[in-house]
Amino acid sequence: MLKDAALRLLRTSSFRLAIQSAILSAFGAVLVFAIIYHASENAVRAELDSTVSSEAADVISDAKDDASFLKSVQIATAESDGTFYALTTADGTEIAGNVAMSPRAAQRWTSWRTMKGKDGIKLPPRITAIRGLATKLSNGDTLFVAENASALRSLNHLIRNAFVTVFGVILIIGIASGLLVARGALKRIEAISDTSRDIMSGDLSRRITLKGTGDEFDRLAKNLNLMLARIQSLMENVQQVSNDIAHDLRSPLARLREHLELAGERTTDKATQTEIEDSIKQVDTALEIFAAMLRIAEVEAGARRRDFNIVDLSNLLKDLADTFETVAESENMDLSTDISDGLKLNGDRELLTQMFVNIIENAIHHSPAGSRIFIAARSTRAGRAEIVISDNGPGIPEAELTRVLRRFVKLDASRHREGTGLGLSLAVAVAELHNGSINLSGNDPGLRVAIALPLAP
Amino acid sequence: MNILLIEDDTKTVEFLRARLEPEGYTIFVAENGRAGLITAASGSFALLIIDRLLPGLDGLALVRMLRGANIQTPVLFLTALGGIEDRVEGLRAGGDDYMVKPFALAELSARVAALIRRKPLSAKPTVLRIADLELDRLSHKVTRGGKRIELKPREFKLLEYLMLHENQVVTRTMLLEAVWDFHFVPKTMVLESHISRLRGKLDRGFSIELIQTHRGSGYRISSDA
Repeated sequence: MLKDAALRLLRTSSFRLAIQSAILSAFGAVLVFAIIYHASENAVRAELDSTVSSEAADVISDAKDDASFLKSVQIATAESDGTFYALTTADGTEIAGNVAMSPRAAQRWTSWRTMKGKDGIKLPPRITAIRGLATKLSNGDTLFVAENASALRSLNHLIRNAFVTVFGVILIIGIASGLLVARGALKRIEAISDTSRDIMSGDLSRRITLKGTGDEFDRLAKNLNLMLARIQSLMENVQQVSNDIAHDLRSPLARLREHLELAGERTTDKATQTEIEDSIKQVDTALEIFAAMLRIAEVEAGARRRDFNIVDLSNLLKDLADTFETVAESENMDLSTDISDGLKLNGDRELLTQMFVNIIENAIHHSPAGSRIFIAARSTRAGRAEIVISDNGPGIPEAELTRVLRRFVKLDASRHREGTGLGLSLAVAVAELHNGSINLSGNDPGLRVAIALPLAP
Repeated sequence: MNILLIEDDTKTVEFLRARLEPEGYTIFVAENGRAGLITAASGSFALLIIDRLLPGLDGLALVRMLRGANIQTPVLFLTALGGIEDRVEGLRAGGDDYMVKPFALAELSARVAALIRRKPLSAKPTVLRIADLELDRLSHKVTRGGKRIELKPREFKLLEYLMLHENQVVTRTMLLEAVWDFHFVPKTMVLESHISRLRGKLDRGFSIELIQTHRGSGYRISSDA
């Protein structure tokens, strides 16, 4: 749960944006420090190098001939106040100087170099590095002149440490501010998506609350609210129009029915009476369709949720199975069950009854004599009840399986049979009202209707 | 037998009169809620038929006031509102029955008769008898001519309801509502198959058929064939 929330936070676009800007700032810091590092090192090194150059020139100019190089170095060493001298033969053997150097180190040192203890040079305590010039002399010997470069090194260290610290601080501040910004943004977005979930589940009157700061989230929420208001008014229009049609046609149809009935009672002519009875049946079919339309509208509006109660699903199904066993028997069909005990859910008993009856009657209605109907109910691990109503009748072609759940869809095979074509649509609306679903599949042969409904906690 | 009809629609009033007056009822009409409330409270009526949507005073409020004043005359609601919510509200407010327009005249007659002849719960006997048929409402035992008849729970409920309305025609809708709590029209022969089962069990080996079919309206249980 906590891990989920953290992951959600890390996945937000505001967090990514904050991290990107933190990385950019860190990159800027790298650039600034590279420039400072370079400039300060150059300045210090140039000063060192000029001292070394002049010392080396002094030693070389003091020597008159090849043999006096040694003497010149010895004098310079004796008078040295911090400058390091060394004279080696061509094979690197040190013959004079105030700094001990291995032959390997001597051979590796050509021209300008910064040498540290680990390079094979024995340095006095508190000196960590020296920087100097190696000069090949005319007699094949090499003259080394170097200055204490500890200051240069510690300067480099200082700059590097400062850089690492600043870099770390920028990254930490960047991530922290990213998380903060992301959390704020996530809260607002979450509020918006919570509201839209409510709206999708039927409460079209919900609106996103504004914070009143007029920021971009407020502007977004305001526009979404305007859009919702527009959708709601359009939906209400459609709803109103279809309900008005159903309602407006109901009244004249009701009157028509009354008149037909009175006329039927007043005539004694048998043929006329039959005609009138047939007419009344037609009117009743039309009225039934309107009643079903209005019932679906009532269910979809979601208002029935207010009256939800604990319903004993196992008992309800066993009761219905009992009733329809008798019906199936009279149609020469066989109805059997496998219903688990103790399934309870929170819902509207009347609507659930109508949903199950519609599906069971569909199975009986569309199956020939001799068919088998099976009703099963059990709880799944996901805390849901799974109710399966299946038959071994002709079934529904694969391609039509989802189509039949839509309103007014009757397959060609049953086009001329009685029925409104709304039975399964109502069943779907009832299942959805209970946060459940209906799934149709083939039963090889026949139809298998699986209803999943959340059980009461 | 006096019936007060509180209804503003003159066509409906005419329709109801045409059916109920020949059956021996005297119809009084109030055209709005207020007038209806005063008439209902002052007169003596066997039944009030009240439209849910009335000018002046809403049908629901009217019934709540009557019940509040301890006037227990049976109330039959008439309405164009077919929602579950509407029916539940109507019954909760103190209505005894509820009919959605349009309804068949046979339905109206049957429900009116049932409401008028309804006995208070305490006056209902625990053992119901018709001819040699006996139904014990407590032990759920049914015998005919002393011979025990085994009924399934729904068959028992169906027979009990028919016997409680002895000699009255009860409609298909009344039975579906009372016995199955089905408030819709089933597509299959739910009622017919149960009636035929019940008949098979009750009448086999007896000369008098107790359950009679009234074509186009419903069923009736009685000892005179």
